[in-house]
Amino acid sequence: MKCSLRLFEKAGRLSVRSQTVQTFQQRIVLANGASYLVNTTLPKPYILSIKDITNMPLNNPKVNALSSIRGQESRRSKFEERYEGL
Amino acid sequence: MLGIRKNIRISVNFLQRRTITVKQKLGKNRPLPGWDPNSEYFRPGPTMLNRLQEHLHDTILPDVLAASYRHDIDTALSTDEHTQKDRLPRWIGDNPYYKNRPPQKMRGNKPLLPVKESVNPKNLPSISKVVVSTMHKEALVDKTQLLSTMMAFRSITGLQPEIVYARKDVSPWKLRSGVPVGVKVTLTGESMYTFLSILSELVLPQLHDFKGLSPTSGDQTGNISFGLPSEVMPLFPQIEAVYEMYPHSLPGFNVNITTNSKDTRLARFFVSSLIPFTDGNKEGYVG
Repeated sequence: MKCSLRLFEKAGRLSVRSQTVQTFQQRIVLANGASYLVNTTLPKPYILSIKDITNMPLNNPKVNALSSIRGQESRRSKFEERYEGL
Repeated sequence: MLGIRKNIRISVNFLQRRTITVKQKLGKNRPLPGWDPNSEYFRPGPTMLNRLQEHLHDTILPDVLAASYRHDIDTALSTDEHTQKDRLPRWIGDNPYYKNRPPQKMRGNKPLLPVKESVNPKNLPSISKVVVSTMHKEALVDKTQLLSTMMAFRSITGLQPEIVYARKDVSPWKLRSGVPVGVKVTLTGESMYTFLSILSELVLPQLHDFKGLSPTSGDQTGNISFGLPSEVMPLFPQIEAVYEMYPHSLPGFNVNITTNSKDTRLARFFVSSLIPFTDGNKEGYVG
């Protein structure tokens, strides 16, 4: 019994796999339609993002004056609210 | 009378592509080489070009060099002969006790910071590693709560995290030495760029109250550190898809970006291409 256990222990080493996490290729589609491939651990073919670096005023300071994100005030949204009837 | 040894046969059922020989079963064969995907020493290499690395190297670094290059410095004077080698005060005089005496330490036991060099194409900043770490307070009471944090960190980084144990006993914080309190992952290479890409492009823009990093962050050796609250963890696409399956709450984490820059402002200027800083860095880098 001892001998067989040792043999099993030795043979068990053959199937030891490394601790690498499996990654999947994924296409991230940004809010402006641009997309790129990235390797992540999520097995989804693509990710659609609504709010990201392309439409955030913090990352686009020059476009902030006229941009209007949902729920956020900007000059354009204030203008539209003010002259809604015209 | 000699006893005949019994021939022991072991049926080994492993789901492997190649046939396992008898020598392998008996453990007499050498292990599979590292290039074999079935080997335990197999490490996968890069499968495609790294987008963020190319962007930083080809687009950002020329801008950093153009913005921080100083034309009023004579480059020929910055050779080894002109740089200050001994920065600690030496014992100078005829006193025989001054011979071979170690230099004096700086007042207040201040550490000796690295010498700042002017920016040139050879010492442009680059990110060498990113350390993501967290401390889970509920793990002090029940250490199984750390399992969700480990699985979450494994998802967002693609690497197996290591457990951080408490070093000392601190009774006001209910800390005991040797108790697992947190989780840490050190990212380099492709996993680092993947993590930074998802964090800066998808996760941080979704934070409502994120106005940028602090303009005074960073030590004087080129490391930029910041912390993120626990609301950030569900914003990762890897966590968002399976957020209900985590049995315990997920904490926030600290991110430490290590650059090879010796200047804090230069490191901040370089990192601001990934994650914006608040208005304190409005004028950009002034070398």
